[in-house]
Amino acid sequence: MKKGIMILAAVILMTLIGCDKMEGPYITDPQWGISTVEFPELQPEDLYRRILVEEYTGHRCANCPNGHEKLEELHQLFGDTLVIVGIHAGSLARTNDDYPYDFTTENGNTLFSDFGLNAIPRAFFNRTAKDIAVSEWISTVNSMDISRSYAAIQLINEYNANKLTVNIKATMLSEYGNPLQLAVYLIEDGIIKPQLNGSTHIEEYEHKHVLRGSLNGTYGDPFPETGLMEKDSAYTRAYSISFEGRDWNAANCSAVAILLDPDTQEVIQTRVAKIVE
Amino acid sequence: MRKLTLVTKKHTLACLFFSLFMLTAFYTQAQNIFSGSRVSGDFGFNGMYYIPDSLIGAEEVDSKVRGNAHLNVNYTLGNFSAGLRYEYYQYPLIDMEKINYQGQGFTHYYVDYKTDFIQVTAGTFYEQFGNGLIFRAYEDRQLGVDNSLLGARVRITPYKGIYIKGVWGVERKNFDFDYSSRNDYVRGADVEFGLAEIFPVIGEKNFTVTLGGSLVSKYEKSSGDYYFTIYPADEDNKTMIIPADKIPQNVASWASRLQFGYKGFRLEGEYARKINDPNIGNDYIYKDGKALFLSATYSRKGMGISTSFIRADNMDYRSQRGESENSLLQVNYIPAINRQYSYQLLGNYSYASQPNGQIGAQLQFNYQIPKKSKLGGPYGTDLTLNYSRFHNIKQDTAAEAIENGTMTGTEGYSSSFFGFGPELLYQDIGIEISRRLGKKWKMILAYNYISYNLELLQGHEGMFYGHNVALDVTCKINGKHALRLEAQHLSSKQDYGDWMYAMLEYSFNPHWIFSIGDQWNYGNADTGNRLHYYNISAAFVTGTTRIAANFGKTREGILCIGGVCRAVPASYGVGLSVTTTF
Repeated sequence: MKKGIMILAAVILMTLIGCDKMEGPYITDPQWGISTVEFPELQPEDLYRRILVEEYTGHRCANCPNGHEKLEELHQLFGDTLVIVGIHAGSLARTNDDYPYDFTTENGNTLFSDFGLNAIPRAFFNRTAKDIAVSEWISTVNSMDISRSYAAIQLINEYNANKLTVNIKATMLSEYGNPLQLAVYLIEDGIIKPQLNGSTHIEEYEHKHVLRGSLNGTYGDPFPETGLMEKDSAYTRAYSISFEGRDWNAANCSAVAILLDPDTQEVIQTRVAKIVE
Repeated sequence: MRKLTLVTKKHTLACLFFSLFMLTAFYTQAQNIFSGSRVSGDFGFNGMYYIPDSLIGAEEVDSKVRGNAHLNVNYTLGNFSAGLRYEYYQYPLIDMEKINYQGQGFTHYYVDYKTDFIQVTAGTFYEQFGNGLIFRAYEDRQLGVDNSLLGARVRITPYKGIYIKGVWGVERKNFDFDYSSRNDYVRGADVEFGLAEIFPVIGEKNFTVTLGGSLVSKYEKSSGDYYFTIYPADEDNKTMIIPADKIPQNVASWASRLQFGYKGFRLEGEYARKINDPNIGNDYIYKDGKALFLSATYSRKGMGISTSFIRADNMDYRSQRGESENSLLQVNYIPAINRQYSYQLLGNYSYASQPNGQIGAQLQFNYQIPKKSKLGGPYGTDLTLNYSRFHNIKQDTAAEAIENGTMTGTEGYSSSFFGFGPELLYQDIGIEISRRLGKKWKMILAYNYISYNLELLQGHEGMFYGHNVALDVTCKINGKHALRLEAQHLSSKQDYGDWMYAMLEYSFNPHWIFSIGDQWNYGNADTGNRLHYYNISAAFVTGTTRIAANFGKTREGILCIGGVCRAVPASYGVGLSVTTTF
């Protein structure tokens, strides 16, 4: 009898634990809307596959300026095939009296933690070549197979009265079997702030491609909301963000659209466009 | 590579010999151990050669011949039992294909140990708590339903009259055996107190009182946001999300029940609740689910009366919130309490239980007009009267849902508990007279008036009203030969209009049964569709084996058993079925 009651009590307890009572409101606004701009016909430069280069860096990282130089070199070599995002994250991106400006972002920290980085400078290429040291960046880009372009992304930015609207159109060029997500990041060039270089403190260092945040979460939203993107179909969407109360210089900012496969983590297409031309 | 193959072959041979050796040794040794064991089971094959028929809508089937086959084997030895079932539904009858019951494999396998105190089961198992309002794992082969759990079950009887059950497992999803990709499972417990057993004094005074309660919870990982559209009156339509962390991963339900009996009187009730369970079937609303089942029966010699009531509100309860097809991954069962008929012409207007919103009652009166009375005749006459009526539930849409133009992501609605909704779902007024007309003749005559909501129950337009008259006459010519005639007429101005049906069956005992029948839609408003659905069949029965063949047409419609329904596609062809038990 006692045994039975104990077992019963245990099962009831376990079942009761299995109860999630939710409190409203249950729904939220996904922060995007329907794009109303007219996109031009697809041009040849819209069609080829680009590589998202995510460089993990920090202002207190003595070797990071080497990485910055290497990125410049890459950019010279590969042009706009590369879309570069500089992510300040990790302990060497923390602030102190010498380096008081906080470059870190919630999204950057999430990526740093999710991908389990231990050291910087490191770079990710389309999130398939991961955690690559500076010395291998060029060879990595050379070895990447970008012969197949799955999707074309067109970006039209509208910036009025401190409000940015990023209009995105993605056209599926090939079949792709998995559902996709679209993430929209904001980056800024020309930020003059201190940087450690070797043992030298450089007070006025130009930081480029600095990730300012995502308009729709680290990994974005399902795109389209339900199901797969179908070949030869186009999908549009608009994301907005206010610059009010931020120290971002719109003239130096760009929007980066990233179409990714959340299952494999692979970035299948990316595109960058200045906010103010 | 070649060397590796050779090694593998050697290894396989060695294994085979070793296994054979062990088996022989084991068999010799085991003769004594296995004495007293018992093997039982059953086999079923149901096949058909399909002929396309564009008039009735019977599609061409590429492979022409299709079939369902299964074999159940159970082994019992003392307190121990084990069993397994193999199903071959790789190329099934099109009925099963339409509901995605397609595949092959071992679908049921278990080991079980049972004493007076405890019973433990590991593997797949079937179970039901109370009336099933919050948990019923069952199988119905004809419907293509198998909601067994793969996991473990414990039943304990700590004291005479106290029964405790616990279940834990993942629900079967047709032939999808990739359990590693599943992120849902069900757990639950049930306790029942048979007071007449615990306190014999209650039983001695002809009372039976049973109290019971159950708790069930399903877990399903919530891994993504749910996107949907709202339609505000003064703004543009807008896509919104239910964030993943607002989708409950653990959905609990509980039920309590009571049974009371005294001599010919019996009263039964069960009340169940389910907490917020946004799912595709309820449009992702957060309202709690509720169900109430009540039943009262009274019987004495020559007379019986029974009445039952059911109300179900937002009680579609499944292992996966994105599933709404048929009974796939259904955790619970909301019974249909209306009278069930086997009349051919009414089959297409069977009531399907509506777990997400129904309220209704059934009343049945049985009376036997005594033997040798003027009305009763020499053998007596059985009279059955019944009435049942089901509505949707009364719903007052939540303010937020009105504002958003959709219930999704809100409490949905509120509902007064005993409020009948405006939509009639089903009504049946019936009378049945059953009478023996002499030593050889027996007759059943029945009349039903059916009101059936085609729109809410089948997705077609409007209501159906039909008068059905059924006659069933059996003549036992002698101990070996019997003839049975079924004749029915359904008259209606809706749907397919008027039908008639006749079937003559000849039994040549103990082995042969032959039948010929036809359903004729003679009153179809479209004169080109006044079709015949004929069928001839022959069956041979020997012992527990039945072999049957038939040729004919089946109309498109629905098949319902106990309020659970599936679609039946139109078909034409030759069928063969073999069943045996051992």
